[in-house]
Amino acid sequence: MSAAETAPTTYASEIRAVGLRVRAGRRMAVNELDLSLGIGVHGILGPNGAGKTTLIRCLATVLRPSGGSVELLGRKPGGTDLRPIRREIGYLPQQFGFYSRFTVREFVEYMAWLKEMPKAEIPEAVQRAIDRADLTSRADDKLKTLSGGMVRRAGIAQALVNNPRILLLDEPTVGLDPAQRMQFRELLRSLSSDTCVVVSTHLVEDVANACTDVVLMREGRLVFQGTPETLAAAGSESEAGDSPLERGYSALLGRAS
Amino acid sequence: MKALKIELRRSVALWTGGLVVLIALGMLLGMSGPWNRGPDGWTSEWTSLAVWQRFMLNMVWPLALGAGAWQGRRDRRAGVDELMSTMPKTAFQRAVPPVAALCLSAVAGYLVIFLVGAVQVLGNTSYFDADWLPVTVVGMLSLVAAVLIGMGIGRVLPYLLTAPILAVLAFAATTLALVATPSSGSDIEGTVSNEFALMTPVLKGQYNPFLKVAADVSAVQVLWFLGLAVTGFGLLTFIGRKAQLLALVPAVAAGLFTFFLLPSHDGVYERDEAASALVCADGGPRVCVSRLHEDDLGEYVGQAREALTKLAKLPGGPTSAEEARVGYFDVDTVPSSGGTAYFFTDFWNGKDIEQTLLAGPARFRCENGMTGYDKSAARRVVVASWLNGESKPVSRKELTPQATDIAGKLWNEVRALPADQQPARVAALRAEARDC
Amino acid sequence: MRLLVLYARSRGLFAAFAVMLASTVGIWALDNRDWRILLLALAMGVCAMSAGLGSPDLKLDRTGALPWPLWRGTHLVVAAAVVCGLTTALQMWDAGMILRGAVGLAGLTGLTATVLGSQLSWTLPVLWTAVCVVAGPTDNTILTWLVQSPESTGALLTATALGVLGLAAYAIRGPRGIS
Repeated sequence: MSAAETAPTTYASEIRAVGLRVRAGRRMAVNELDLSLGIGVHGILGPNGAGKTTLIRCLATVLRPSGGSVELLGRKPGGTDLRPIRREIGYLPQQFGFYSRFTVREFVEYMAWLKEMPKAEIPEAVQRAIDRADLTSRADDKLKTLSGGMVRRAGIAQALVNNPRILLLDEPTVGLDPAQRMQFRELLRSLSSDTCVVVSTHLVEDVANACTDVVLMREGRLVFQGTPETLAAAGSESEAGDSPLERGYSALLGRAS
Repeated sequence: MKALKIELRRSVALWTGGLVVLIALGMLLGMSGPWNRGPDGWTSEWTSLAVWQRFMLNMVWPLALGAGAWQGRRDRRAGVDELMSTMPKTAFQRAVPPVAALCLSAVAGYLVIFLVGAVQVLGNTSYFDADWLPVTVVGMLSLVAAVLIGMGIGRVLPYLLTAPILAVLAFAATTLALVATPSSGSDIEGTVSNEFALMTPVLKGQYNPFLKVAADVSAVQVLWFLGLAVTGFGLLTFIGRKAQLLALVPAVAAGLFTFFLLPSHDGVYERDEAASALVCADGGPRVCVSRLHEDDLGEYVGQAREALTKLAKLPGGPTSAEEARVGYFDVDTVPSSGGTAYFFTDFWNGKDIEQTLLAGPARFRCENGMTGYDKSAARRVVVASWLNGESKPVSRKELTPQATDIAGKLWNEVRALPADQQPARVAALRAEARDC
Repeated sequence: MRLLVLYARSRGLFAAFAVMLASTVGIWALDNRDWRILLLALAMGVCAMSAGLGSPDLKLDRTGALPWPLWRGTHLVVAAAVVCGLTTALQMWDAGMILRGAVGLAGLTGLTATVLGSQLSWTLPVLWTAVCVVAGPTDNTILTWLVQSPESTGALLTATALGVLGLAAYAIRGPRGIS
């Protein structure tokens, strides 16, 4: 246990955004967003172009806010030294790039080094991350030999390796088969007790089964935040959709427009 | 360390190091060239080893540059830029493992070639000085600079064609530096200036083991390659176009600075006084060789003294013998008369020490072409044959018909003289033996 | 015609041609008839050519219904012709020597593309050219085929063999499918 882990938290929620505005190119992709995300699994839902990826990139410290403020673990990442915050973040980008000649283990190890983990902890942490992403049997294969779903899981493994307190996953379930998706949800549930996980997805069923909290976005603004049950309750039989959640989704988005 | 190990195993680093060794040793050992047949062959002594290794940078330096550019493009090619930008390690720290892997590998390759040569040099000579060390150090530094500037350019211009174009341009530069400087004697001499040539890392053998690379040239080159390396690292790690422009400053500054500091002509080499100092054999008559060839003194003393005994027949003939400590192209500067006879110990001129001592070294360059050579060769044959007490002109090397003709006439002329006048005539012939 | 333009764009052929053109202009400006310059010009030519030998997605390409061997073969021949044509247009060297060099090096580039992939297909031709530049015209007419006189049989045979082998290998197998 490091000092940082045992220190009492002085912030109410891991992620707090007030009036957040983030530009993606010329467009203001996130506009006046107020958001507060604590421990648990938060699913970000929304139609294409809602600003999900831009929000996650901002939380991952890739993009700087052009207005409003964002606090990660009680600190503003706008300062010159982002390193303490970045050590606590795990990130899987939507376009996950990787060194194709590295093996899974080497790649995750390299990422652990880049995340400034203590040297002694690296081998164990790497093994644990690979196990959790269910790549144990392919750990020593080169990344270029892996299938699309396995590459996605290697991306999840690298995001997990530093035991992040904020885990940002952009479309993590793309390319995973149904069995792997179930396993992934299991992984999310196991993380939900001590990590602030933010999952962007367009699959409502992922949200229903693994998330403790749903964030619904549309055109850069927050439409809804609450439990999946509340989302389901928002829909009525008359809305489009095959499940209560989908009907709630349609209802809330329809109301917002 | 772990990251470095991974990079060594998975990047182009080991391939580059392997190719450095393969190409350079392939040329040095597998092909015949001035590096293995000149008086300053690459394994004959330390400075020659260092200089010929720098010569091989002609192919090796572009290789390091191309490999660097290839490696520098990797993050863009793999699409990891976004992920990397969220890492707590700074761009500086992130660049260290790939840079270190490639630099270590290239420098290790250079060291391997050096070791292969060094073992042979140790077997060939016991002469040692440290003048070659800066030459080798600059060679290694130039490889580091090539890797870094390559990686920097590869990152700033992450195109498929960057690496090959850089490699070919670098090869053009090193080649022109070797063959196209003023007075280089090739068809394209004068295409590039000496300063330009010295800003590439290549050096050319001089067919003269009594030279060393001037220390100030090496010092200026260190400055230039350091500037290049810093710029490369800056291009690799700075973010944003403005910062990258700023990164160019060290290279531009060092380039301007060195361009004016480097010698504009013939200042690269200077005489190696330590290596060319004389070491003489015990007893008389006096026979001396350079410190560089001290090991071979015993081998030459007998032949030299025998020749000196024969030369004693001439009035005012030489009474001592010395190794002529000049380069292959400077043979004609060796005096042909006086109290000292000269000989050579090298590949081309060192075959026949006694003949060289008796009649003087063969003429190297005649303005009037073959007629000059023929005259000179005929006189030398006559002098040597007379001193050897032959009954007719005898030459070890075959003479041209014209030379044989002249030699015959001269021989009869000398023989026709009374015996007591012959030595004076031969002494005069010996003095003018190398006139064209 | 439109298909050809799209094909050229997908392979980055316009950039490659621009590089070739720039190198030709540079050599014209240098105005030197030394054989080393010719070799450098050819090396630059095959470098530029190498970029177009692969595509952004080889596997997708292969699923296309086009007669790929024909396209690939034509691509290589046209590329060699462009290199040869641009260099000959300078009127600085013997046309036979340029043709021999362009054919041999283009073949070697194609051959390397099938073994190492298009991204590295420039390596072997450039290496061999460099060896020829450094070694100069030696008795080994095969090793230094690029710098032999236009009459040399050994050099001609080497160039032809490289050209034919490279064309066949590249047309039939295509570039190695690395990402």
